[in-house]
Amino acid sequence: MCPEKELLSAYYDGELESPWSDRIRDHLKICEECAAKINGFKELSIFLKSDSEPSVAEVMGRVRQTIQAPEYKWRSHLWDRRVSLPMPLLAVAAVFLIVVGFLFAYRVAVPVSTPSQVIVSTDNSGRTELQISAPVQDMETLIKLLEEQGSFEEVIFQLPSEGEIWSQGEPELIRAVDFNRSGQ
Amino acid sequence: MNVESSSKLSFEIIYESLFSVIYRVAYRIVGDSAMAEDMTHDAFIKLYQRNEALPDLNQTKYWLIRVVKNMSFNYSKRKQRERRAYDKFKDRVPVFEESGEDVVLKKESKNLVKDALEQLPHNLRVVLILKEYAGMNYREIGETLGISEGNVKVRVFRAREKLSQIMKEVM
Ligand SMILES: [Zn+2]
Repeated sequence: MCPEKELLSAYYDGELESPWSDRIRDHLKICEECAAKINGFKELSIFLKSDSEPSVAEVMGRVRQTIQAPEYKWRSHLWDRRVSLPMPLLAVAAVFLIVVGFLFAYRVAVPVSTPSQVIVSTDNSGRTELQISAPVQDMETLIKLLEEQGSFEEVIFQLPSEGEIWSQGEPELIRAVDFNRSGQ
Repeated sequence: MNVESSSKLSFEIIYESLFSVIYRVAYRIVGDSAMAEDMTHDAFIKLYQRNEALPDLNQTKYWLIRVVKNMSFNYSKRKQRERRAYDKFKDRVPVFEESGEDVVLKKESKNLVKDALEQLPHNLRVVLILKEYAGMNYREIGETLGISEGNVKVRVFRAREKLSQIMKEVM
């Protein structure tokens, strides 16, 4: 008789004691169905590790810096973060995108349609600042791309100060648009 | 004895040995690298500010995972809330058609693993992540989450069943 699937899963995790695990091992030799089940678990583990993970070393250094900073500088990063950007909403609004990065000739492949204005400037500390004023079609993709390209110190999204859209907006939505991804 | 320097030293050891597993767990729970960074950051600050020391490295690890897990849970609740606020607002403004290019970009950035994990209920997802990514055994997972080993066994299995279903749908 076949063992319960739950037991097979525990066997796969090496969680069964000797008499049980031996019995299952023997059973797997003669039962294709259970062997296939185990194989399924294996495939699942492989699938779960099939994508790339962000590099820990980089993050570790960044976080260490803030922890080593004087205590008064500590603040929760998490609750500063503006969550759940109301992306499609921005499709209807022009967005000022300010990208501050180290790279000079950085070609920003951002999914904005017909930027109406791009200003590139270098401030006195040698950082390049890109100001793009354009309607953004897909905020989520834009943010993802910017994060993947990763060489930005700071990315600020601003909504135009005027525009009727905000007269009917809710305060939390305006707040949510201010996305700050700072390396500090 | 200099209490401060000895506790600082142990913090450094804790940081070195546990950062990567905590970050990895956080990343898999929220599926967003920046968010995971912030959660890991906050968890270690919390640890640093903690008055009583935790008995050993393992207990410290369990504690940090619990902190990260609770943060992610609160975060997803907050996200739902803001999503609802947004949905209410959305109907009142016109939305542009997506161009073909945008659709392509979206497909490229799609991550099957992340999408699959996201579809698991929080309590199953966390258990499976601790098993598969943190390499913890049932006893350790149970101790971290305050549930029995038997319960861990059930949840790991259910998470796997559910994930196989999800995979069949997406692949
Ligand atoms: Zn069988």
